[in-house]
Amino acid sequence: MSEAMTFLVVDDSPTMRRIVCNALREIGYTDVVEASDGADALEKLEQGSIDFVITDWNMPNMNGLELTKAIRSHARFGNLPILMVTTRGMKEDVIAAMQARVNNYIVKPFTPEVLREKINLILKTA
Amino acid sequence: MTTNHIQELLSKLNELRAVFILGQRAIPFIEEVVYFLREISPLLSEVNDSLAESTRKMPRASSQLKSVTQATEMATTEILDLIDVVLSDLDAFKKSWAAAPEALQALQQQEEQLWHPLPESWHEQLQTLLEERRQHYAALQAMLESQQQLVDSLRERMNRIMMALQVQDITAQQLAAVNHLIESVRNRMAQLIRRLGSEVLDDLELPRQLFAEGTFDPHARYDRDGSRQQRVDALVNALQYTAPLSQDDEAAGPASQEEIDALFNGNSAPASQDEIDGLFSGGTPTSQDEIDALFGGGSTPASQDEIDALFGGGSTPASQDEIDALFNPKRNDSNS
Repeated sequence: MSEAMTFLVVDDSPTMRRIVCNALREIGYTDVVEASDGADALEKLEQGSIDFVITDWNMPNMNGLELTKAIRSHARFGNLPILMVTTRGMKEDVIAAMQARVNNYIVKPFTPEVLREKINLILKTA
Repeated sequence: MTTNHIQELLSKLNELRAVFILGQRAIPFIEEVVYFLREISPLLSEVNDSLAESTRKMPRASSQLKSVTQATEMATTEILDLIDVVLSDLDAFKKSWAAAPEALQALQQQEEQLWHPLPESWHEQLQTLLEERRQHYAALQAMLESQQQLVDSLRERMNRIMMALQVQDITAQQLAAVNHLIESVRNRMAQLIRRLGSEVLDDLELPRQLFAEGTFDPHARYDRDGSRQQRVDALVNALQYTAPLSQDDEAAGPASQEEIDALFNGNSAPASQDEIDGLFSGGTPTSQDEIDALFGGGSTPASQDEIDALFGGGSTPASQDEIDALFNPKRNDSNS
């Protein structure tokens, strides 16, 4: 995968979507699609060619955990890299996210360096 | 009548006398109870009115919290807009000056080229002037480098400001959690008012929750020291290392508790659940059941004292520290 890849940023907070998009731009990824919740994200996934999903956990309609499970059970985009970016930092949360098969996990507030590190780590092992 | 009968009669009379004596002693106490009940009746009525009044005010508090969230979101958006403009201007500035060092170098080279064809006799006369010009070029070069560093530094700082704005999302979740608690208290108070026999207020039931459950994290916090990320990384690594979650293997599970314990506490003595919980900031979040239990569930409603204790009394609003303590007791302890 190259840096021309398309990211899907899923967060119900417009502020957070913008911050994640800007952070992605700063580390060289400019092609970003936004979704406001899990259901919206699934629609966007159906519509276009997404290479990488960055999702929040707590969202209305469909949360990040449910979205991860939905993606993993999907025939076409079941193997997409998924990075969870959330305020939830409890042990149980991390275990639940890993059980749902997210590729990595970032706790908010994060820095662009951590975002870059996790993306690179996921892409290296993908 | 025999002696035995007389003895029995005397014994019964003594018992009767004891009952009378007890009655005499109990009368003042019973009187006090009656007086107390008379006095407490208006107090109960006052408590009831106060409960109803507080319950009526709660939707306004919820609404104000929502307004705060909306206002901070608007302000954050404005700041982000400005950051975008500044970053764009810095990029344009950097781009417009990007060719300057090369142009300066070209000028220097041209001068050198001009210098050589000049007659030797001129060289001595122009030497001082040339040296001055070289110093000017060097100063200009240094200024350009300094300018580039300044632009890069400004860019980095603008990005830091942008990342710091994550605080808006985190505080919005904290406010949502407080709001959720207010709504829970309000519903419990409404039940209490009904149980006390007051008129049922039309607006006791909230039409809908302002912040739907599950859309916020009550434990959200703005913690920038990176220790939470380190703990999460350690756990993610442990889970991936001990039980790789193959995408082809649906049955693959996460690491066992023993494996996680071993990771966090060496191989000899596995960590206890409490210790692991301690690593992750103090256990599990408050469930609805726990909130229900606090307010007595269906059988015993919470007292006004309990509600006051939660909110720091009826007259003074809860401080941020008190709210933090409610949602994050361990952090509060460590700060104090």
